[in-house]
Amino acid sequence: MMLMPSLALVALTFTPTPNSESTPGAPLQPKAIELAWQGDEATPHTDVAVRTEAAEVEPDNPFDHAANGIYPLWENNGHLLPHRRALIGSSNVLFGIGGVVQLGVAPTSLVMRTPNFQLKVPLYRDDRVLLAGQLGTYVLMPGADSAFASSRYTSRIYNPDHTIVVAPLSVAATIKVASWLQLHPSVTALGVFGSKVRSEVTPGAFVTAELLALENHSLLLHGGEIGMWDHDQYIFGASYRLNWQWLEARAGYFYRISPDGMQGQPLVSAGLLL
Amino acid sequence: MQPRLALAFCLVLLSACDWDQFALLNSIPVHGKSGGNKTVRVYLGLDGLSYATVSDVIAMRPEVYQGFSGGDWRRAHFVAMFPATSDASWSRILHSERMGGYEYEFYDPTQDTIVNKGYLGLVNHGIPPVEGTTFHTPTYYTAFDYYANGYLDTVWTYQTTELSFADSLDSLFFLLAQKSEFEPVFTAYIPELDVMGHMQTREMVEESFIVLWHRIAEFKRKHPERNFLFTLFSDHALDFLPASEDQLVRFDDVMRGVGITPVESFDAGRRQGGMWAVPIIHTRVSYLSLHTEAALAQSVAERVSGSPTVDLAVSLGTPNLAIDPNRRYAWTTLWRGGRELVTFGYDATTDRYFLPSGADYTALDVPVDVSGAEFVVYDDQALFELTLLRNYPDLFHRARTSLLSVSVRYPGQVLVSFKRPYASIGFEMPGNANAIASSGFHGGLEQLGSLGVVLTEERDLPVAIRSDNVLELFPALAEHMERRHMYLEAGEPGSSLNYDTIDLSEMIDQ
Repeated sequence: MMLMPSLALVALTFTPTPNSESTPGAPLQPKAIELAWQGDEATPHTDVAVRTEAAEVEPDNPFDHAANGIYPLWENNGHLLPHRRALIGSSNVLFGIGGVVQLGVAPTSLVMRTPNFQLKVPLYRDDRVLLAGQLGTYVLMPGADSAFASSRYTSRIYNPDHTIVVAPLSVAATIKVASWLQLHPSVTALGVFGSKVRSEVTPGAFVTAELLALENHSLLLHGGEIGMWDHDQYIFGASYRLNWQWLEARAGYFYRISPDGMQGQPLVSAGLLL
Repeated sequence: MQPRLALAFCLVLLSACDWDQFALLNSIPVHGKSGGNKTVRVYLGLDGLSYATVSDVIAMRPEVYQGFSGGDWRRAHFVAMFPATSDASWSRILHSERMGGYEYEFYDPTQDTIVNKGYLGLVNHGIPPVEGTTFHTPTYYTAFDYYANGYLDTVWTYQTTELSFADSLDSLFFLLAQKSEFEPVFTAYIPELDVMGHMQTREMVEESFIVLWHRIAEFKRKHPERNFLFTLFSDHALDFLPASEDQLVRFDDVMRGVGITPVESFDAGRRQGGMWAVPIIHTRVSYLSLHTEAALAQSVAERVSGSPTVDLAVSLGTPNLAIDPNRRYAWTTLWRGGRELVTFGYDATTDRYFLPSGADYTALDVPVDVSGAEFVVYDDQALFELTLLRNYPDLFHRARTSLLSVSVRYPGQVLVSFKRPYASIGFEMPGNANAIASSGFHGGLEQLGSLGVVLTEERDLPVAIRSDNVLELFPALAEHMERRHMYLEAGEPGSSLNYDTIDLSEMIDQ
């Protein structure tokens, strides 16, 4: 698989618990990568030989980091899937193109009268920071407000007879704070449009702290604010992520806290890594 | 992929379906265009809330008292149907599609079998309804914009009732704030007060009602932009009379004791011969229904009423030819102690009841005087007023309509109202755990379990409302249900009352 040199470097340098031992024939020693990442202060690589070597190899596991957030719409990060790598998951189907674009669809929303897509592009990269921008669109077709599999779920949206278009535009980063900790802050401007709703843009901010525990495992703490100066709700939660061979599994619990009430719910996703 | 992993993957996929969409939709701030819905009517169905409970709270808590004395709130007695049990009662109140029986478990004469028998009926409560499967909720749930908050919500309602109640209120108000920007009516169903009454204490129900009261007030304070008019209504009451384990009746044994063979189908009964009936045990409630052939119904009712655990049994009656020589009226018999207490007639064309002489009305706490006459005639409304605050509210209408296919498709031929504190055991818990859900009961004809409540800021109320007529008084609720694509049953034609002329103010201490 061909990779853009810069992306390969980024993939290496953002691999705190590489799986290279399980990848036969990996030319780059895992030790060397770990050296580059150990310690609380990251050391930028300046060695040309290392750069060249890194640029020629495929990352050990492009799925060491999630390519999106578990909480829909508002949570994101700076990672993208590499070229021609895909995640076929219950919550997201993602596909990387050329290392510069990631296309995505939320399949469960798609079958629940909410056609949607996301397009994510890298904006900036260095040794500590990945920055990406994402544009999405969710079309809430008439009846999407109650298109749950079970009637034990209710939405606060009301659109039995009209369409609502929701378009989130977000900028998200992944910041390496330490070898065991990354932060994924994101800011989003959510546009809402429709004939029977007030067309408006709502700002929101979300941050996720990812604790990298052992190999293949992450614990994540999530927090977000929707509405900002025109406060709508806070979102808090915690989740766990496993990436093991071809499997990515995530499970978490989240609260939405509005001035009037609160909702709690689990979020679970499973995906095949291709 | 290994089959086991494939299966796990599919399960996770399935379970994740609603969660993702639930998270997505409920974190999108969507606002209606300005100017709409200056007034929003909110109808909260509170399962099992008694008039007496609310009266106690009003007496105890000044902030609640103020709402009813010079405030905007009005209060009325709600008279539940008989049997005063949730599924049938909500169906009666909301005129929703008739259920098979009074509860999940029912006898289906078209298949000659008991549907959802025993634990299956119980488990059905907990299984989340999923579109396109056989698991679904009763139709009346469709009337409510909100009734649950997750696949296992019903399980948590029984397992951790207080937390579930808090969760319900949180979800309800979370939804209401945004929903009200689009719809002038919002409806919700809160089941936990009933569960508390069955499993815990009256004090807990009262405290929970106060919590709800404060949440409503707080919500209204936070949203001055709209005029929210709340209406709270229940489907029955709770008597808060606990039953000890030996007072939980296994009715099969009672039937055998009076010479009736309990069977599971008419076919089995006919092959058996003699006196037989299909008992529908239902859940842990203070009533029970029996299905049998019409020719056996009166004898079955007579015999089971002889059990010391039974207060009253109801069956169709033999026409009194002295009053009804042309057999035009519907006749109903009330049984107690193995004998007929009264057989009364009902003329649907005039909406009048015929109460014959020779009956023991005192035993029914009905103050009628038939002395010197062969019978007396009361119109429906007069009997409603006469019996409302007696031991058996609206006795004649409730007894009569309990045997009709109103609210239920397959009514029983005999209905039993237990003599409290006796009650039907309903289900047996393993490991000597039968003491649960024995703190309070409802279902029978007695007042304590029958008088629910209607509280509203929307309009003036009569002192009492028959369950069949709630929608007449709150047409916005009926319109909302129709917008939710519900078919509204016509109901029982003789159930209407003229609420403008009902005056029981001297009898009722508001």
